[in-house]
Amino acid sequence: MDCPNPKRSAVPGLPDDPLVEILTRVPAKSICRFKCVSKGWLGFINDPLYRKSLPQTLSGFFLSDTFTGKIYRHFINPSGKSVSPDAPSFSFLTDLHGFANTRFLHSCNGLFLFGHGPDRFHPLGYLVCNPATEEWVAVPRSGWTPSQLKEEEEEDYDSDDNEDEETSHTYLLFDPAVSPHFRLVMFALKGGFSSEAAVHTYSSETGVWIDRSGGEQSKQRQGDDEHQRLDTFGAISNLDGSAFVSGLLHLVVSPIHKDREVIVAVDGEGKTRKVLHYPEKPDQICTDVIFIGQSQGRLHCITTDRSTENTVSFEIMIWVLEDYANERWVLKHSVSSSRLFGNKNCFIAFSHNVVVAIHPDCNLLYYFLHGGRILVSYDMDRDKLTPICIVGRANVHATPYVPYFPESSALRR
Amino acid sequence: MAAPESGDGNNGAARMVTLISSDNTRFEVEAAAASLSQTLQLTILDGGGGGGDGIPLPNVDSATLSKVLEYCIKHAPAAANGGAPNATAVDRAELERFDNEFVNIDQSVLYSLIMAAHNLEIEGLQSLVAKKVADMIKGKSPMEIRRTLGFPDPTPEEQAEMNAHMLEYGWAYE
Repeated sequence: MDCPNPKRSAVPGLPDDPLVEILTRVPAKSICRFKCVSKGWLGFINDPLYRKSLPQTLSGFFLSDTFTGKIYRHFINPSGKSVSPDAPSFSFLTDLHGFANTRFLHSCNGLFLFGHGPDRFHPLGYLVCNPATEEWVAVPRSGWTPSQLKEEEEEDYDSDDNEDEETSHTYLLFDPAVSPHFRLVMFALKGGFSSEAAVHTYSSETGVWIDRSGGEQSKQRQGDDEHQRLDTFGAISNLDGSAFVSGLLHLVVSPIHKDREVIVAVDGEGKTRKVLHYPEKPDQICTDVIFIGQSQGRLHCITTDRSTENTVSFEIMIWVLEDYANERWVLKHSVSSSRLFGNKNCFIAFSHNVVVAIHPDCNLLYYFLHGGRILVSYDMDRDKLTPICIVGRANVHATPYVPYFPESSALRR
Repeated sequence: MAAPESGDGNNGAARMVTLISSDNTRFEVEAAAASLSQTLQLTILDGGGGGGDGIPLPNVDSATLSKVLEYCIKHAPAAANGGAPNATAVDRAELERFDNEFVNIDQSVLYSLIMAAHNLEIEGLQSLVAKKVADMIKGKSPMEIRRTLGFPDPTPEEQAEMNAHMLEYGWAYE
Protein backbone atom coordinates (compact mmCIF):
# COMPACT_ATOMS: atom_id res chain seq x y z
CA MET A 1 0.00 0.00 0.00
CA ASP A 2 1.25 3.48 -0.81
CA CYS A 3 2.62 5.72 1.81
CA PRO A 4 2.25 9.11 0.16
CA ASN A 5 5.13 11.46 0.64
CA PRO A 6 3.41 14.64 1.74
CA LYS A 7 6.11 16.78 0.20
CA ARG A 8 5.50 15.71 -3.36
CA SER A 9 1.92 14.55 -3.10
CA ALA A 10 -0.14 16.40 -5.72
CA VAL A 11 -3.33 16.28 -3.69
CA PRO A 12 -2.91 16.41 0.08
CA GLY A 13 -3.81 13.08 1.63
CA LEU A 14 -4.46 11.34 -1.68
CA PRO A 15 -2.01 8.62 -2.74
CA ASP A 16 -0.67 8.83 -6.30
CA ASP A 17 -2.41 5.72 -7.65
CA PRO A 18 -5.99 6.99 -7.39
CA LEU A 19 -4.90 10.31 -8.88
CA VAL A 20 -3.39 8.48 -11.88
CA GLU A 21 -6.66 6.55 -12.21
CA ILE A 22 -8.53 9.85 -12.34
CA LEU A 23 -6.16 11.70 -14.68
CA THR A 24 -6.02 8.85 -17.21
CA ARG A 25 -9.74 9.48 -17.69
CA VAL A 26 -9.59 13.17 -18.56
CA PRO A 27 -8.81 14.46 -22.07
CA ALA A 28 -5.31 15.61 -23.08
CA LYS A 29 -6.66 19.16 -23.12
CA SER A 30 -7.44 19.01 -19.38
CA ILE A 31 -4.03 17.47 -18.61
CA CYS A 32 -2.37 20.36 -20.41
CA ARG A 33 -4.36 22.84 -18.32
CA PHE A 34 -3.80 21.00 -15.04
CA LYS A 35 -0.03 21.38 -15.38
CA CYS A 36 -0.33 24.78 -13.81
CA VAL A 37 -2.60 23.87 -10.87
CA SER A 38 0.52 23.68 -8.70
CA LYS A 39 4.15 22.61 -8.75
CA GLY A 40 3.02 19.29 -7.33
CA TRP A 41 0.61 18.68 -10.22
CA LEU A 42 3.22 19.69 -12.80
CA GLY A 43 5.74 17.29 -11.29
CA PHE A 44 3.12 14.58 -11.13
CA ILE A 45 2.01 14.99 -14.76
CA ASN A 46 5.62 15.06 -16.02
CA ASP A 47 6.76 12.17 -13.80
CA PRO A 48 8.21 9.45 -16.06
CA LEU A 49 6.39 6.85 -14.00
CA TYR A 50 2.95 8.40 -14.49
CA ARG A 51 3.11 10.12 -17.85
CA LYS A 52 3.01 6.68 -19.51
CA SER A 53 -0.60 6.40 -18.45
CA LEU A 54 -1.70 9.96 -19.14
CA PRO A 55 -3.08 11.22 -22.45
CA GLN A 56 -0.54 13.28 -24.38
CA THR A 57 -0.90 16.13 -26.79
CA LEU A 58 1.20 17.79 -29.50
CA SER A 59 4.67 18.39 -28.11
CA GLY A 60 6.19 19.85 -31.28
CA PHE A 61 7.45 19.17 -34.77
CA PHE A 62 10.36 17.25 -36.24
CA LEU A 63 11.78 18.68 -39.44
CA SER A 64 13.05 16.78 -42.43
CA ASP A 65 14.03 17.51 -46.01
CA THR A 66 11.04 17.09 -48.33
CA PHE A 67 13.07 15.38 -51.04
CA THR A 68 15.74 13.37 -49.31
CA GLY A 69 13.91 12.63 -46.07
CA LYS A 70 17.00 13.61 -44.06
CA ILE A 71 15.92 14.49 -40.54
CA TYR A 72 17.17 17.80 -39.11
CA ARG A 73 18.39 18.14 -35.56
CA HIS A 74 16.08 21.02 -34.83
CA PHE A 75 12.91 20.27 -32.88
CA ILE A 76 10.18 22.91 -32.92
CA ASN A 77 8.16 23.62 -29.83
CA PRO A 78 4.53 24.54 -30.70
CA SER A 79 4.76 27.71 -28.64
CA GLY A 80 7.90 28.78 -30.52
CA LYS A 81 9.84 28.99 -27.28
CA SER A 82 13.43 27.89 -27.28
CA VAL A 83 13.80 24.18 -26.98
CA SER A 84 15.11 22.66 -23.79
CA PRO A 85 18.16 20.38 -23.91
CA ASP A 86 15.97 17.36 -23.17
CA ALA A 87 13.81 17.97 -26.26
CA PRO A 88 13.04 14.80 -28.16
CA SER A 89 15.58 13.89 -30.80
CA PHE A 90 16.83 10.97 -32.82
CA SER A 91 20.35 11.28 -31.45
CA PHE A 92 20.01 7.79 -29.95
CA LEU A 93 20.08 6.48 -33.50
CA THR A 94 23.12 8.36 -34.76
CA ASP A 95 25.55 5.72 -33.57
CA LEU A 96 23.87 3.12 -35.71
CA HIS A 97 25.84 1.92 -38.67
CA GLY A 98 24.52 3.60 -41.81
CA PHE A 99 22.38 6.17 -40.03
CA ALA A 100 23.61 8.81 -42.47
CA ASN A 101 21.48 7.15 -45.17
CA THR A 102 18.39 6.95 -43.00
CA ARG A 103 15.38 8.78 -44.39
CA PHE A 104 12.16 9.78 -42.70
CA LEU A 105 9.13 8.11 -44.27
CA HIS A 106 6.13 8.34 -41.96
CA SER A 107 4.98 8.53 -38.35
CA CYS A 108 1.95 7.36 -36.43
CA ASN A 109 0.93 7.88 -32.79
CA GLY A 110 4.46 8.62 -31.54
CA LEU A 111 6.36 6.01 -33.56
CA PHE A 112 8.56 6.94 -36.54
CA LEU A 113 9.36 4.99 -39.66
CA PHE A 114 12.69 5.46 -41.41
CA GLY A 115 13.97 3.80 -44.52
CA HIS A 116 17.62 3.40 -45.39
CA GLY A 117 18.86 3.29 -48.92
CA PRO A 118 19.70 5.52 -51.87
CA ASP A 119 16.48 7.55 -51.66
CA ARG A 120 13.07 7.65 -49.96
CA PHE A 121 11.35 5.53 -52.56
CA HIS A 122 13.60 2.47 -52.78
CA PRO A 123 14.44 1.51 -49.20
CA LEU A 124 16.77 -1.41 -48.60
CA GLY A 125 15.41 -1.83 -45.10
CA TYR A 126 13.51 0.00 -42.39
CA LEU A 127 13.82 1.24 -38.85
CA VAL A 128 10.86 1.87 -36.54
CA CYS A 129 11.61 3.85 -33.41
CA ASN A 130 10.12 5.78 -30.55
CA PRO A 131 11.96 9.02 -29.63
CA ALA A 132 10.19 9.11 -26.24
CA THR A 133 11.60 5.78 -25.04
CA GLU A 134 14.58 5.68 -27.44
CA GLU A 135 13.60 2.15 -28.43
CA TRP A 136 13.97 0.99 -32.00
CA VAL A 137 13.71 -2.09 -34.11
CA ALA A 138 14.99 -2.93 -37.59
CA VAL A 139 12.57 -4.22 -40.21
CA PRO A 140 13.90 -5.99 -43.32
CA ARG A 141 13.01 -4.77 -46.79
CA SER A 142 9.86 -6.10 -48.34
CA GLY A 143 9.98 -8.72 -51.06
CA TRP A 144 9.16 -6.13 -53.70
CA THR A 145 11.75 -5.28 -56.37
CA PRO A 146 11.14 -2.49 -58.84
CA SER A 147 10.74 -4.00 -62.30
CA GLN A 148 13.28 -1.56 -63.77
CA LEU A 149 15.85 -3.23 -61.52
CA LYS A 150 14.77 -6.62 -62.75
CA GLU A 151 15.18 -5.40 -66.31
CA GLU A 152 18.52 -3.88 -65.43
CA GLU A 153 19.78 -7.29 -64.51
CA GLU A 154 18.70 -8.65 -67.85
CA GLU A 155 19.67 -5.87 -70.22
CA ASP A 156 21.10 -2.39 -70.11
CA TYR A 157 18.58 -0.20 -68.36
CA ASP A 158 18.12 3.34 -69.59
CA SER A 159 18.11 5.27 -66.36
CA ASP A 160 17.08 8.53 -67.99
CA ASP A 161 13.68 7.17 -68.82
CA ASN A 162 11.70 7.75 -65.64
CA GLU A 163 8.30 7.51 -67.25
CA ASP A 164 7.75 4.01 -65.92
CA GLU A 165 9.85 4.28 -62.81
CA GLU A 166 8.37 2.40 -59.91
CA THR A 167 8.49 3.88 -56.45
CA SER A 168 7.45 2.55 -53.09
CA HIS A 169 5.53 4.48 -50.45
CA THR A 170 5.60 2.92 -47.01
CA TYR A 171 3.28 3.88 -44.16
CA LEU A 172 3.32 3.05 -40.47
CA LEU A 173 0.14 2.04 -38.66
CA PHE A 174 0.22 1.96 -34.87
CA ASP A 175 -2.80 2.01 -32.60
CA PRO A 176 -1.71 1.35 -29.00
CA ALA A 177 -5.33 1.31 -27.85
CA VAL A 178 -5.84 -1.81 -29.94
CA SER A 179 -2.47 -3.57 -30.10
CA PRO A 180 1.10 -3.01 -28.95
CA HIS A 181 2.22 -4.09 -32.43
CA PHE A 182 2.72 -1.90 -35.45
CA ARG A 183 2.18 -2.61 -39.11
CA LEU A 184 3.79 -1.32 -42.26
CA VAL A 185 1.91 -0.99 -45.53
CA MET A 186 4.00 -0.53 -48.65
CA PHE A 187 2.44 0.51 -51.93
CA ALA A 188 4.60 0.20 -55.00
CA LEU A 189 3.43 2.57 -57.70
CA LYS A 190 4.36 2.90 -61.32
CA GLY A 191 5.45 6.30 -62.55
CA GLY A 192 3.27 8.79 -64.31
CA PHE A 193 -0.42 8.15 -63.89
CA SER A 194 -0.18 4.44 -63.92
CA SER A 195 -1.65 2.25 -61.28
CA GLU A 196 -0.35 0.42 -58.30
CA ALA A 197 2.24 -2.26 -58.95
CA ALA A 198 2.23 -4.10 -55.64
CA VAL A 199 1.10 -4.00 -52.00
CA HIS A 200 3.16 -5.59 -49.26
CA THR A 201 2.41 -5.47 -45.55
CA TYR A 202 4.49 -6.19 -42.48
CA SER A 203 3.36 -6.96 -38.94
CA SER A 204 5.73 -6.62 -35.97
CA GLU A 205 3.78 -9.45 -34.37
CA THR A 206 4.69 -12.02 -37.00
CA GLY A 207 7.89 -10.31 -38.17
CA VAL A 208 7.23 -11.11 -41.81
CA TRP A 209 6.25 -9.26 -44.97
CA ILE A 210 3.28 -10.57 -46.92
CA ASP A 211 2.61 -9.83 -50.57
CA ARG A 212 -0.97 -8.59 -50.71
CA SER A 213 -0.88 -7.66 -54.37
CA GLY A 214 -4.07 -8.77 -56.01
CA GLY A 215 -3.98 -10.54 -59.35
CA GLU A 216 -5.75 -9.35 -62.46
CA GLN A 217 -9.02 -10.35 -60.85
CA SER A 218 -8.89 -7.66 -58.22
CA LYS A 219 -8.00 -5.07 -60.82
CA GLN A 220 -11.19 -5.76 -62.67
CA ARG A 221 -13.31 -5.44 -59.60
CA GLN A 222 -14.58 -1.94 -59.36
CA GLY A 223 -17.57 -0.17 -57.90
CA ASP A 224 -18.49 0.08 -54.25
CA ASP A 225 -17.11 -3.24 -53.07
CA GLU A 226 -15.60 -2.52 -49.66
CA HIS A 227 -12.65 -4.74 -50.44
CA GLN A 228 -11.58 -2.68 -53.39
CA ARG A 229 -7.88 -2.33 -53.74
CA LEU A 230 -5.98 0.86 -54.11
CA ASP A 231 -4.83 -0.43 -57.49
CA THR A 232 -8.14 0.40 -59.06
CA PHE A 233 -7.43 4.01 -58.28
CA GLY A 234 -3.97 5.22 -58.97
CA ALA A 235 -1.33 7.51 -57.56
CA ILE A 236 -1.06 8.51 -53.91
CA SER A 237 -0.70 12.26 -53.38
CA ASN A 238 2.11 11.92 -50.91
CA LEU A 239 2.34 15.58 -50.06
CA ASP A 240 -1.26 16.11 -48.99
CA GLY A 241 -0.79 14.43 -45.64
CA SER A 242 -2.20 11.24 -44.28
CA ALA A 243 -4.44 10.63 -41.33
CA PHE A 244 -4.86 7.72 -38.95
CA VAL A 245 -8.52 7.68 -37.86
CA SER A 246 -10.66 4.81 -36.59
CA GLY A 247 -7.76 2.39 -36.98
CA LEU A 248 -7.44 3.10 -40.70
CA LEU A 249 -4.82 4.98 -42.67
CA HIS A 250 -6.32 7.68 -44.89
CA LEU A 251 -4.56 8.82 -48.04
CA VAL A 252 -5.43 11.18 -50.86
CA VAL A 253 -5.43 9.22 -54.09
CA SER A 254 -5.73 10.44 -57.68
CA PRO A 255 -7.89 7.92 -59.47
CA ILE A 256 -7.07 6.89 -63.00
CA HIS A 257 -10.61 6.55 -64.21
CA LYS A 258 -12.08 9.58 -62.51
CA ASP A 259 -11.23 13.23 -62.76
CA ARG A 260 -11.32 13.98 -59.04
CA GLU A 261 -9.26 12.86 -56.10
CA VAL A 262 -10.69 10.64 -53.39
CA ILE A 263 -9.70 9.79 -49.83
CA VAL A 264 -8.98 6.11 -49.43
CA ALA A 265 -9.00 4.35 -46.05
CA VAL A 266 -6.63 1.41 -45.85
CA ASP A 267 -6.25 -1.19 -43.09
CA GLY A 268 -3.13 -2.95 -41.79
CA GLU A 269 -3.52 -5.63 -44.44
CA GLY A 270 -3.34 -3.11 -47.23
CA LYS A 271 -7.01 -3.52 -48.02
CA THR A 272 -9.08 -0.52 -49.03
CA ARG A 273 -11.91 -0.38 -46.53
CA LYS A 274 -13.60 2.83 -47.53
CA VAL A 275 -13.47 5.38 -50.31
CA LEU A 276 -14.49 8.86 -49.22
CA HIS A 277 -15.37 11.67 -51.55
CA TYR A 278 -13.95 14.92 -50.39
CA PRO A 279 -16.35 17.61 -49.25
CA GLU A 280 -17.63 20.43 -51.44
CA LYS A 281 -20.07 23.28 -51.22
CA PRO A 282 -23.10 22.75 -53.46
CA ASP A 283 -22.16 25.56 -55.84
CA GLN A 284 -18.47 24.73 -55.93
CA ILE A 285 -17.01 24.13 -59.37
CA CYS A 286 -13.36 23.31 -58.95
CA THR A 287 -12.18 21.84 -55.67
CA ASP A 288 -8.66 20.91 -54.71
CA VAL A 289 -7.73 18.83 -51.67
CA ILE A 290 -4.84 20.50 -49.91
CA PHE A 291 -4.48 18.45 -46.77
CA ILE A 292 -6.00 15.68 -44.71
CA GLY A 293 -5.27 15.13 -41.04
CA GLN A 294 -6.68 13.98 -37.74
CA SER A 295 -7.89 16.25 -34.96
CA GLN A 296 -10.06 15.52 -31.93
CA GLY A 297 -10.49 11.96 -33.16
CA ARG A 298 -12.01 12.97 -36.48
CA LEU A 299 -10.82 13.13 -40.05
CA HIS A 300 -10.26 16.67 -41.29
CA CYS A 301 -9.91 17.78 -44.87
CA ILE A 302 -8.76 21.15 -46.15
CA THR A 303 -9.92 22.16 -49.61
CA THR A 304 -9.75 25.23 -51.80
CA ASP A 305 -12.07 26.52 -54.45
CA ARG A 306 -9.85 26.92 -57.49
CA SER A 307 -12.57 28.37 -59.67
CA THR A 308 -11.72 31.80 -58.31
CA GLU A 309 -7.97 31.49 -58.73
CA ASN A 310 -7.78 34.53 -60.95
CA THR A 311 -8.84 36.83 -58.19
CA VAL A 312 -6.52 38.06 -55.52
CA SER A 313 -7.85 35.76 -52.90
CA PHE A 314 -9.67 32.44 -52.78
CA GLU A 315 -11.49 30.50 -50.14
CA ILE A 316 -9.83 27.89 -47.93
CA MET A 317 -12.26 25.49 -46.27
CA ILE A 318 -11.60 23.25 -43.29
CA TRP A 319 -14.02 20.34 -43.13
CA VAL A 320 -14.58 17.74 -40.46
CA LEU A 321 -16.05 14.29 -41.04
CA GLU A 322 -18.66 14.39 -38.27
CA ASP A 323 -20.28 11.10 -39.19
CA TYR A 324 -17.79 8.60 -40.53
CA ALA A 325 -20.20 5.78 -41.37
CA ASN A 326 -22.57 8.00 -43.32
CA GLU A 327 -19.81 10.16 -44.75
CA ARG A 328 -21.23 13.43 -43.48
CA TRP A 329 -18.77 16.30 -43.80
CA VAL A 330 -19.38 19.53 -41.92
CA LEU A 331 -17.73 22.81 -42.84
CA LYS A 332 -15.86 23.75 -39.69
CA HIS A 333 -14.19 26.90 -40.81
CA SER A 334 -13.64 29.01 -43.85
CA VAL A 335 -10.94 31.61 -44.33
CA SER A 336 -9.62 33.62 -47.26
CA SER A 337 -6.15 32.86 -48.59
CA SER A 338 -5.19 36.51 -48.26
CA ARG A 339 -5.89 36.31 -44.52
CA LEU A 340 -3.44 33.42 -44.15
CA PHE A 341 -0.85 34.38 -46.73
CA GLY A 342 -1.22 38.03 -47.49
CA ASN A 343 -2.23 39.27 -50.90
CA LYS A 344 0.84 38.48 -52.93
CA ASN A 345 1.24 35.18 -54.71
CA CYS A 346 -1.19 33.52 -52.43
CA PHE A 347 -2.22 31.04 -55.06
CA ILE A 348 1.31 29.86 -55.55
CA ALA A 349 1.93 29.95 -51.83
CA PHE A 350 -1.00 27.76 -50.93
CA SER A 351 -0.07 24.67 -52.79
CA HIS A 352 0.70 21.21 -51.56
CA ASN A 353 2.93 20.56 -48.56
CA VAL A 354 2.11 23.93 -47.05
CA VAL A 355 -0.25 22.79 -44.31
CA VAL A 356 1.73 21.00 -41.65
CA ALA A 357 -0.93 19.81 -39.23
CA ILE A 358 -4.16 20.43 -37.44
CA HIS A 359 -3.58 20.34 -33.70
CA PRO A 360 -4.79 16.94 -32.43
CA ASP A 361 -6.77 18.51 -29.59
CA CYS A 362 -7.98 21.89 -30.80
CA ASN A 363 -8.82 24.04 -33.79
CA LEU A 364 -5.31 25.27 -34.55
CA LEU A 365 -3.89 24.99 -38.02
CA TYR A 366 -0.11 24.93 -38.56
CA TYR A 367 1.24 25.96 -41.96
CA PHE A 368 4.32 27.28 -43.70
CA LEU A 369 4.77 30.74 -45.13
CA HIS A 370 7.32 31.63 -47.80
CA GLY A 371 7.99 28.15 -49.09
CA GLY A 372 8.60 26.62 -45.71
CA ARG A 373 10.76 29.30 -44.16
CA ILE A 374 8.32 30.41 -41.45
CA LEU A 375 5.99 28.21 -39.43
CA VAL A 376 2.74 29.91 -38.44
CA SER A 377 -0.29 28.83 -36.45
CA TYR A 378 -3.83 29.93 -37.21
CA ASP A 379 -6.47 29.75 -34.50
CA MET A 380 -9.77 29.04 -36.25
CA ASP A 381 -11.87 29.95 -33.22
CA ARG A 382 -10.29 33.36 -32.70
CA ASP A 383 -9.16 34.08 -36.26
CA LYS A 384 -5.71 34.71 -34.87
CA LEU A 385 -2.32 34.23 -36.56
CA THR A 386 0.79 33.49 -34.50
CA PRO A 387 4.28 33.07 -35.96
CA ILE A 388 5.90 30.02 -34.38
CA CYS A 389 9.42 30.06 -35.68
CA ILE A 390 11.69 30.90 -38.56
CA VAL A 391 12.90 27.67 -40.10
CA GLY A 392 15.14 29.40 -42.58
CA ARG A 393 15.31 26.59 -45.11
CA ALA A 394 13.16 25.74 -48.07
CA ASN A 395 11.67 22.33 -48.87
CA VAL A 396 11.14 21.41 -45.28
CA HIS A 397 8.65 18.85 -44.13
CA ALA A 398 7.40 19.21 -40.56
CA THR A 399 6.01 16.17 -38.77
CA PRO A 400 3.77 16.78 -35.75
CA TYR A 401 4.84 14.79 -32.72
CA VAL A 402 2.66 13.48 -29.88
CA PRO A 403 4.89 11.40 -27.62
CA TYR A 404 4.06 7.83 -26.68
CA PHE A 405 5.79 7.08 -23.37
CA PRO A 406 5.02 3.43 -22.59
CA GLU A 407 7.74 0.97 -23.50
CA SER A 408 6.80 -1.35 -26.30
CA SER A 409 7.54 -5.03 -26.76
CA ALA A 410 7.28 -4.47 -30.52
CA LEU A 411 10.41 -2.31 -30.42
CA ARG A 412 12.66 -4.79 -28.65
CA ARG A 413 15.55 -5.75 -30.79
CA MET B 1 -31.98 -10.93 -2.25
CA ALA B 2 -32.14 -14.72 -2.22
CA ALA B 3 -28.84 -16.32 -1.32
CA PRO B 4 -27.46 -18.01 -4.44
CA GLU B 5 -25.43 -21.19 -4.46
CA SER B 6 -22.07 -19.97 -3.25
CA GLY B 7 -20.25 -22.88 -4.84
CA ASP B 8 -17.77 -23.15 -1.99
CA GLY B 9 -19.25 -26.36 -0.65
CA ASN B 10 -21.44 -24.95 2.12
CA ASN B 11 -24.52 -26.73 0.82
CA GLY B 12 -26.77 -23.90 -0.20
CA ALA B 13 -26.31 -21.31 2.49
CA ALA B 14 -23.85 -18.67 1.27
CA ARG B 15 -20.80 -18.28 3.42
CA MET B 16 -20.85 -15.09 5.44
CA VAL B 17 -17.95 -13.00 6.75
CA THR B 18 -17.83 -10.15 9.22
CA LEU B 19 -16.05 -6.87 8.55
CA ILE B 20 -15.35 -4.40 11.33
CA SER B 21 -15.13 -0.69 10.53
CA SER B 22 -12.71 1.74 12.19
CA ASP B 23 -15.49 2.87 14.54
CA ASN B 24 -16.18 -0.74 15.52
CA THR B 25 -19.38 -1.38 13.64
CA ARG B 26 -19.75 -4.97 12.49
CA PHE B 27 -21.02 -5.75 8.98
CA GLU B 28 -21.99 -9.28 8.00
CA VAL B 29 -21.87 -9.88 4.25
CA GLU B 30 -21.59 -12.78 1.84
CA ALA B 31 -18.00 -13.84 1.29
CA ALA B 32 -18.54 -13.52 -2.46
CA ALA B 33 -19.35 -9.80 -2.09
CA ALA B 34 -16.45 -9.05 0.27
CA SER B 35 -14.11 -10.93 -2.08
CA LEU B 36 -14.46 -8.20 -4.69
CA SER B 37 -11.78 -6.61 -2.51
CA GLN B 38 -8.39 -7.97 -3.57
CA THR B 39 -7.11 -7.05 -0.12
CA LEU B 40 -9.74 -9.17 1.64
CA GLN B 41 -9.85 -12.00 -0.86
CA LEU B 42 -6.82 -13.90 0.45
CA THR B 43 -7.93 -13.63 4.08
CA ILE B 44 -11.36 -14.90 3.13
CA LEU B 45 -9.92 -17.75 1.05
CA ASP B 46 -7.86 -18.74 4.09
CA GLY B 47 -11.11 -19.04 6.00
CA GLY B 48 -10.79 -15.76 7.89
CA GLY B 49 -13.60 -13.41 8.84
CA GLY B 50 -16.08 -16.09 9.79
CA GLY B 51 -17.81 -16.69 13.10
CA GLY B 52 -17.10 -14.25 15.87
CA ASP B 53 -13.68 -13.20 14.53
CA GLY B 54 -14.38 -10.59 11.88
CA ILE B 55 -11.81 -8.71 9.80
CA PRO B 56 -10.89 -5.31 11.20
CA LEU B 57 -10.64 -2.47 8.67
CA PRO B 58 -8.95 0.35 10.59
CA ASN B 59 -8.88 2.66 7.52
CA VAL B 60 -12.59 2.59 6.71
CA ASP B 61 -15.34 4.16 8.80
CA SER B 62 -18.82 2.66 9.05
CA ALA B 63 -20.55 5.18 6.75
CA THR B 64 -18.01 4.53 3.99
CA LEU B 65 -17.95 0.78 4.56
CA SER B 66 -21.72 0.50 4.27
CA LYS B 67 -21.53 2.38 0.97
CA VAL B 68 -18.69 0.14 -0.26
CA LEU B 69 -20.63 -2.98 0.66
CA GLU B 70 -23.72 -1.71 -1.14
CA TYR B 71 -21.56 -1.64 -4.28
CA CYS B 72 -20.04 -5.07 -3.63
CA ILE B 73 -23.39 -6.78 -2.98
CA LYS B 74 -24.82 -5.36 -6.18
CA HIS B 75 -21.80 -6.33 -8.28
CA ALA B 76 -21.01 -9.73 -6.71
CA PRO B 77 -23.38 -11.85 -8.88
CA ALA B 78 -22.01 -10.37 -12.12
CA ALA B 79 -18.42 -10.76 -10.88
CA ALA B 80 -19.12 -14.41 -9.98
CA ASN B 81 -20.13 -14.97 -13.60
CA GLY B 82 -16.66 -13.91 -14.65
CA GLY B 83 -17.58 -10.40 -15.74
CA ALA B 84 -21.01 -11.70 -16.74
CA PRO B 85 -20.50 -12.71 -20.35
CA ASN B 86 -23.98 -14.21 -20.36
CA ALA B 87 -25.62 -11.30 -18.58
CA THR B 88 -28.61 -9.93 -20.38
CA ALA B 89 -28.71 -6.38 -21.68
CA VAL B 90 -31.30 -5.69 -18.99
CA ASP B 91 -28.88 -6.82 -16.27
CA ARG B 92 -26.12 -4.65 -17.66
CA ALA B 93 -28.40 -1.66 -17.99
CA GLU B 94 -29.52 -2.17 -14.40
CA LEU B 95 -25.90 -2.25 -13.16
CA GLU B 96 -25.14 0.88 -15.16
CA ARG B 97 -28.16 2.64 -13.68
CA PHE B 98 -27.05 1.55 -10.21
CA ASP B 99 -23.50 2.81 -10.82
CA ASN B 100 -24.68 6.21 -12.01
CA GLU B 101 -26.93 6.60 -8.97
CA PHE B 102 -24.23 5.26 -6.69
CA VAL B 103 -21.66 7.97 -7.43
CA ASN B 104 -24.23 10.74 -7.43
CA ILE B 105 -23.03 11.77 -3.98
CA ASP B 106 -21.41 14.47 -1.96
CA GLN B 107 -17.79 15.29 -2.72
CA SER B 108 -16.59 14.32 0.76
CA VAL B 109 -18.25 10.91 0.51
CA LEU B 110 -16.71 10.47 -2.93
CA TYR B 111 -13.29 11.22 -1.48
CA SER B 112 -13.76 8.62 1.28
CA LEU B 113 -14.84 6.12 -1.38
CA ILE B 114 -11.69 6.77 -3.44
CA MET B 115 -9.56 6.01 -0.40
CA ALA B 116 -11.58 2.93 0.59
CA ALA B 117 -11.64 1.51 -2.97
CA HIS B 118 -7.90 2.09 -3.13
CA ASN B 119 -7.11 0.53 0.25
CA LEU B 120 -9.43 -2.43 -0.30
CA GLU B 121 -8.36 -2.76 -3.94
CA ILE B 122 -11.84 -3.07 -5.41
CA GLU B 123 -11.09 -2.67 -9.09
CA GLY B 124 -14.57 -1.88 -10.39
CA LEU B 125 -15.22 0.66 -7.68
CA GLN B 126 -11.83 2.29 -8.28
CA SER B 127 -12.69 2.79 -11.95
CA LEU B 128 -16.18 3.99 -11.15
CA VAL B 129 -15.13 6.70 -8.70
CA ALA B 130 -12.13 7.70 -10.84
CA LYS B 131 -14.43 8.19 -13.82
CA LYS B 132 -16.84 10.22 -11.73
CA VAL B 133 -14.08 12.51 -10.44
CA ALA B 134 -12.59 12.80 -13.94
CA ASP B 135 -15.97 13.93 -15.27
CA MET B 136 -16.22 16.43 -12.44
CA ILE B 137 -12.80 18.00 -12.95
CA LYS B 138 -12.12 17.74 -16.69
CA GLY B 139 -13.75 21.08 -17.49
CA LYS B 140 -12.35 22.92 -14.50
CA SER B 141 -9.74 25.66 -14.61
CA PRO B 142 -6.55 25.35 -12.55
CA MET B 143 -7.91 27.94 -10.10
CA GLU B 144 -11.13 25.97 -9.65
CA ILE B 145 -9.12 22.82 -8.96
CA ARG B 146 -7.07 24.68 -6.38
CA ARG B 147 -10.21 25.91 -4.64
CA THR B 148 -11.83 22.47 -4.74
CA LEU B 149 -8.76 20.93 -3.14
CA GLY B 150 -8.50 23.70 -0.59
CA PHE B 151 -5.09 24.94 -1.79
CA PRO B 152 -4.11 28.38 -0.52
CA ASP B 153 -4.42 31.27 -2.98
CA PRO B 154 -1.51 31.28 -5.43
CA THR B 155 1.50 33.45 -4.65
CA PRO B 156 2.13 36.33 -7.09
CA GLU B 157 4.86 34.19 -8.66
CA GLU B 158 2.50 31.23 -9.11
CA GLN B 159 -0.18 33.54 -10.47
CA ALA B 160 2.26 34.91 -13.06
CA GLU B 161 3.14 31.35 -14.11
CA MET B 162 -0.53 30.49 -14.43
CA ASN B 163 -1.16 33.54 -16.60
CA ALA B 164 1.80 32.74 -18.85
CA HIS B 165 0.60 29.16 -19.23
CA MET B 166 -2.87 30.37 -20.12
CA LEU B 167 -1.46 32.66 -22.79
CA GLU B 168 0.66 29.90 -24.26
CA TYR B 169 -1.95 27.15 -24.16
CA GLY B 170 -5.06 29.24 -24.76
CA TRP B 171 -6.62 26.36 -26.68
CA ALA B 172 -6.68 24.20 -23.57
CA TYR B 173 -8.74 26.74 -21.66
CA GLU B 174 -11.92 26.67 -23.72
